[in-house]
Amino acid sequence: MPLLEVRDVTKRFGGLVAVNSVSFSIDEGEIVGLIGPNGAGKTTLFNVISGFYKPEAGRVLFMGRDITGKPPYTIAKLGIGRTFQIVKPLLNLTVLENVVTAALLKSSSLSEAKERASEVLEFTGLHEKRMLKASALNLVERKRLELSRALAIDPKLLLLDEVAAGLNPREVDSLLELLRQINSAGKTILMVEHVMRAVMTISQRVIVLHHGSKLAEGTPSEVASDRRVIEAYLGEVVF
Amino acid sequence: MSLTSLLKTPLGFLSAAAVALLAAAPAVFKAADLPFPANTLLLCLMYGILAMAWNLLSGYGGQLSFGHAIFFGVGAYTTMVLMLYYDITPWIGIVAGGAVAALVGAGLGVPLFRLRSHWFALATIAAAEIFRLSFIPWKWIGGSAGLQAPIVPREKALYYLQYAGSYVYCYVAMLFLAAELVVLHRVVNSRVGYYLQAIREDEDAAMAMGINPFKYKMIAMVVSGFFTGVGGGIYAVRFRFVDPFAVFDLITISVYIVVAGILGGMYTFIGPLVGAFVFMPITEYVRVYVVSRFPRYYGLHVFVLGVVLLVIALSVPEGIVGWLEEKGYVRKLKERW
Repeated sequence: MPLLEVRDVTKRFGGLVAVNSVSFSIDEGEIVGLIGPNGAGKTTLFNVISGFYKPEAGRVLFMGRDITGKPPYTIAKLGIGRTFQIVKPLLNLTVLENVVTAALLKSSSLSEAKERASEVLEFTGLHEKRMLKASALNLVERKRLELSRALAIDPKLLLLDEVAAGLNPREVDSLLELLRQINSAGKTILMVEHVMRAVMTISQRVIVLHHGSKLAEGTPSEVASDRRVIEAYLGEVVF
Repeated sequence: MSLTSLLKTPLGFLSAAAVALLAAAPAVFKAADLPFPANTLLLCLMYGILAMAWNLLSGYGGQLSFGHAIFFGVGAYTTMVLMLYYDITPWIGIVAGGAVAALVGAGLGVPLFRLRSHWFALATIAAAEIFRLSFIPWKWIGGSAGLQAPIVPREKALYYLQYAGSYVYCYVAMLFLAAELVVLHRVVNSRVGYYLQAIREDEDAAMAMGINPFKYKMIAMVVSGFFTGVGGGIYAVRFRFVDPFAVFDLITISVYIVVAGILGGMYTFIGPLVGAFVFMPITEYVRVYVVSRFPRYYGLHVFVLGVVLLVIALSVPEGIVGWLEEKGYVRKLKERW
């Protein structure tokens, strides 16, 4: 049984078909990249999986259980953590409080949540900034905070929406190292990514979306040499 | 925390001094026959109870309510009705008033929490107006004339909680305020407090962390409604009179609560109480001494309200306690001598 199964999911906004009958599945322990040109429907698909959008058609199954149209907090409780492409820090709270809030989901007490949050922050490298308000963080740190919060709910599946965007090469490397460690700790990762170097080095499998439909699926090298994928990307470049 | 360890920091010392002063004040006012400071102190305490309650929902939870007069009015009427029609002591009636207000909060939460941000705020005003307008023709509880408690013989004073002046009521208010502070402190330092702030900061982020916003907004509404209802009950016994126009008033109840909360600092625990202790003396002074001197200029107290709001917005938008925290004064006060 796959950990996550997306079956013929369609999401429309008025006349626009943002996601068009997309199917794929992800096995436990995988790192899967979800790529595609701007407007391909990647974030929309994330929002469907995590419960923020209700699809017009299709089903989403998590651990064999139908989670289609369930509210986001129920899906989070079931074990899907996510980050947002446009980061959503709790600005007036400290970094630690941000992560404690998330850690409370799987903790029976506040002190336990504080302990877990500290561990997560140690791991993501934000521990020194834990007493700062989230509003004092720069974008790179805010992305780390997103990741920390998603990790703190101790999910089985992590949906990462462009966590590498805006990072310099060295920061990308340290992020990839972090993701590998998260993965080897038993967490499955589905990541939307524009930074090709990131997604191609770390993913075992890549799914390509284009105009809301699945265009290709395979190992990074298979996808990179796929003619339709190259066209989809090159066709979009307007210099 | 023991008293001796409390006194080791300036903040602890100041808090202890403030509590001691407060405890002594009504007795001193009574001995010196000073009704105005006693009345003002009671209003500070009462609006302190209200603003602290309001802050759980609107400050911590970010659900801006301009309709807390609903809970206040329901609490006041409940206490009064229980006393007049069922001969139940206000000691029970005030708590019952809180309970009924909490129930009303739960009922109102269902439709109101379908709305977000300014739409929620507008709907709370509308809801409060509906309550006021529905109580006016309600003959069983006195209609537009309201309900008045008769004077009782002196030996029944404790049962009916009826005393001359504000002095005794100050102690009653302090009792309930202390209980409220204990409860609210526990609530905001629990899962509920963290979740409410997450909902305030970003509802989507909160949901992604497994938080059901509706559930926690409802908890905040019920607790907030309870203590606001208690405040209404204290009002009812002090003034022995309730009518729909006074207890459901938009400005003097709903908006005064909001102003006290914002003035003291919405994102702080104790801010709203501090705000009430700054705002109410100003308003009371203007109402009693200034307005009476310029009887032709009706609405002068509302003008003062406007000035206070303007000053907050321009100089301390984060509120008094928020400002103190931001400048690091609170941290300094928490350090040992």
